Amino acid sequence: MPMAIVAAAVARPSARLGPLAVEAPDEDAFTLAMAAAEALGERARSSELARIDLVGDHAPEAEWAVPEALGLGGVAIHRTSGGPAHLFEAIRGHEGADPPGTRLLLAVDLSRVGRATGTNHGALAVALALGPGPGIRVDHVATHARSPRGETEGLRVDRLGRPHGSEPTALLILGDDERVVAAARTAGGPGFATSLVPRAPPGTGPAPTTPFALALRAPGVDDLPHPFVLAALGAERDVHVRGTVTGSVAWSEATPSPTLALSAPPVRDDERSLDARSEGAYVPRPRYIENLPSRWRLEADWCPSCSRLTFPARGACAHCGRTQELERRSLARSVWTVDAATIVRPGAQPTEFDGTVAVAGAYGVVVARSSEGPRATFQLVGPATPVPIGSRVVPVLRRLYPMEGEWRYGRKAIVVAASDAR
Amino acid sequence: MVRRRAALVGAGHTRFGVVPEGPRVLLRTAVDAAFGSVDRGLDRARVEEAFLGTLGFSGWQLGNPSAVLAEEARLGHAPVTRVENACASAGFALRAGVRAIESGDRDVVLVVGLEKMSDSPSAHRRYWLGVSGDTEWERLAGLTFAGVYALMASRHMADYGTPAEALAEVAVKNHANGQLNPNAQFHKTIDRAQVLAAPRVADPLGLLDCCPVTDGAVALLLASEEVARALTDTPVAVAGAGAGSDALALQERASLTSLAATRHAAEEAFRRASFGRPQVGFLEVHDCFTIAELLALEDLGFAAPGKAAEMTLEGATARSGRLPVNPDGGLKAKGHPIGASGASQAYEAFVQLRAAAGARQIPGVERALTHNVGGSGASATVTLFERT
Ligand SMILES: [Zn+2]
Repeated sequence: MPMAIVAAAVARPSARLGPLAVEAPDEDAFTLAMAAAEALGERARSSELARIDLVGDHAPEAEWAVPEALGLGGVAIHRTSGGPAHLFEAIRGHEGADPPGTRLLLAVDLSRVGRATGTNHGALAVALALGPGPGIRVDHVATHARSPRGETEGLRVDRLGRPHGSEPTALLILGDDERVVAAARTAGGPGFATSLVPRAPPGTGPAPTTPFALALRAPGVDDLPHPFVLAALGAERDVHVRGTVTGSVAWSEATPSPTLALSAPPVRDDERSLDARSEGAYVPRPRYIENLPSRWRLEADWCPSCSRLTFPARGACAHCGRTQELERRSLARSVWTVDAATIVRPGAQPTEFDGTVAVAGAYGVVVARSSEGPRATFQLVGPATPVPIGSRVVPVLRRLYPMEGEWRYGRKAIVVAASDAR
Repeated sequence: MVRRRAALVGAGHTRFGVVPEGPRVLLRTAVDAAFGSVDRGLDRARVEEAFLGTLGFSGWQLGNPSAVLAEEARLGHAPVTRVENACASAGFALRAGVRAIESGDRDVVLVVGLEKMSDSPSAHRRYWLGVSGDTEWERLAGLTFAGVYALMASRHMADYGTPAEALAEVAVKNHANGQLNPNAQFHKTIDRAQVLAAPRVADPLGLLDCCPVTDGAVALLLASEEVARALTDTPVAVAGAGAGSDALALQERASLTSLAATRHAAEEAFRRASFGRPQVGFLEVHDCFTIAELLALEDLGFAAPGKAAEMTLEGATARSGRLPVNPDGGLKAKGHPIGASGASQAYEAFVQLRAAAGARQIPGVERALTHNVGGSGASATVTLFERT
């Protein structure tokens, strides 16, 4: 049975370069994908997940890092490069070849700015939960050599963005910046007309796969005619898609991130050294890996003797020392309260964070308490502003610093509600 | 049964500050000064054992620095043990020396604290300053000690209404004291406005809330009281040595505004001593950051929780106040060579209780408390001294 998109979530990057939303220095494909997956909620951690599709700009390490961060060790991973054809092929799945169960698709486009790629666009990640439906189904995907401008497969394409007929209702949209096309039915007449996608909200910046996700909640999408067709016009190849809408899609967005204004495009990993200076205090890689369950999934040990949690998890209860039959539980990400706060100014940062200070000037750090009790220490995402004690923060996965040729990741926190108690 | 006690019979202190001398010269200078201070002289061959407190800052002779002390102190083949508990290294080295004597095992012991911090370029200094914090969680959140103490300060201010002026007053008072200490790194007075206006390091702490980067060494000669009386007419007895521990990371501790290690150490020290807090004439507390002195006053039991600020602003802790705190300038003005600070505090107890502190002498003082903290409170020592 073909899969339908039943739920979708989008995560926007937290930096801005001119009109484009681009990755902050502590964001990349992995953190954006995780932000989108976490916005999807329990569907992204379901034990019924049979497969995770990684589409777009994922690094090879994502094949172990994504299931690790989601606590889904052993799940099948399918990684494909980006672009409309790959995205829709991944959504369509392979009937008969796919394992039974639901699927999670994480599509990421990193920004491409000021590079000789012919396109300039921001970054964004989309998480799609695929299941039996109802939702939006992709039935057929075909790619063709670049079509002549204009008529194609019965679709009239107006790349200047003027809709034909009366105001259309966007159905599905795809493409990169200037080539985004929507297949839509005009209110006044039969058949489909096309138009450019309504621009993404100011500052978010379109990216190749993301207008598609944005369109999932376009006005009128719930009472779509079906089937639909879609054309995505690429630089060299066009993709044509046929699909069916059988119901609405549950929609969510990642916690809005603070906006960091950048003056230069994000530095790509192949253009820098992934080694921070830290000859003294050093977390060897095996110890970093060992702590990932607590670092990434906020896992704590619950002790049946004390009924208390120990965080970070360490295989022993910090209160009574019990080591047997401890239960691993992930602390809730939603409600953490600031117990103490500071702003670390240039010169007071560990050398690993020299790069962070170079970009942001300073950063906040808090000790925060989870609703279940344990405390953790988090660097704050975004501009350093005073955070009153009692404020609420949400932990998010971010890059911490590069070490030994790779990024080290962990939880930082975003302030979601500043306390006015003091 | 009267417990066998250890006593200070000699002490040597190098000038603290950014100095050209290397670790070997610093060790030699402090040890020679200590032997030179023993009233009736002490043959080096009588030193049965030595303890060296040092972090190994900058990585110079990171392993086995004990052998360097044995060479420079000309101890022959007497055993030397390096003790490392971050900023409390010398406090714990002193405690090891005291226990070696109290146990009856040794009669004469040398305790030395050393740190040479200015050799490293500033980026190296920052990672060395962070090596004693919780590496896996606090450091990965972007904290060094300034940040960790700033977190405690933020909470103390929120819970008790502790004003920034009280933190500033700690710095003002300690700079005033340091001006009278020829060994101190800083010999300039500052005022509250300067402290409050200084560039921020980790809010709410500014540059003048923080101790400096310092080179220095301090040597202490300890003897059993019986042997001590043969060496000097004015030994300074160790009346009680206490120590304590706590979780490495702040996030694991029960309180963010109190150091349980200090409380434990103080309880133990007073339990061993034959006197209580009212009999203590002055304190040498671990003021690596201004907030730390306020926490110390409360955790040592000289101020109720939240009341150290008031006590400080009233002038009670000034050199002329009812309970002088850090008459030598403290870590703040005298300087904080990490592995030496605990020994430097004992040096101050030695000279003050022998009425040999010169311009900064507190008149008629008979008993002293020294308090040395490792990291942000993972370890602490409290040592009580009295003139005999
Ligand atoms: Zn337990």
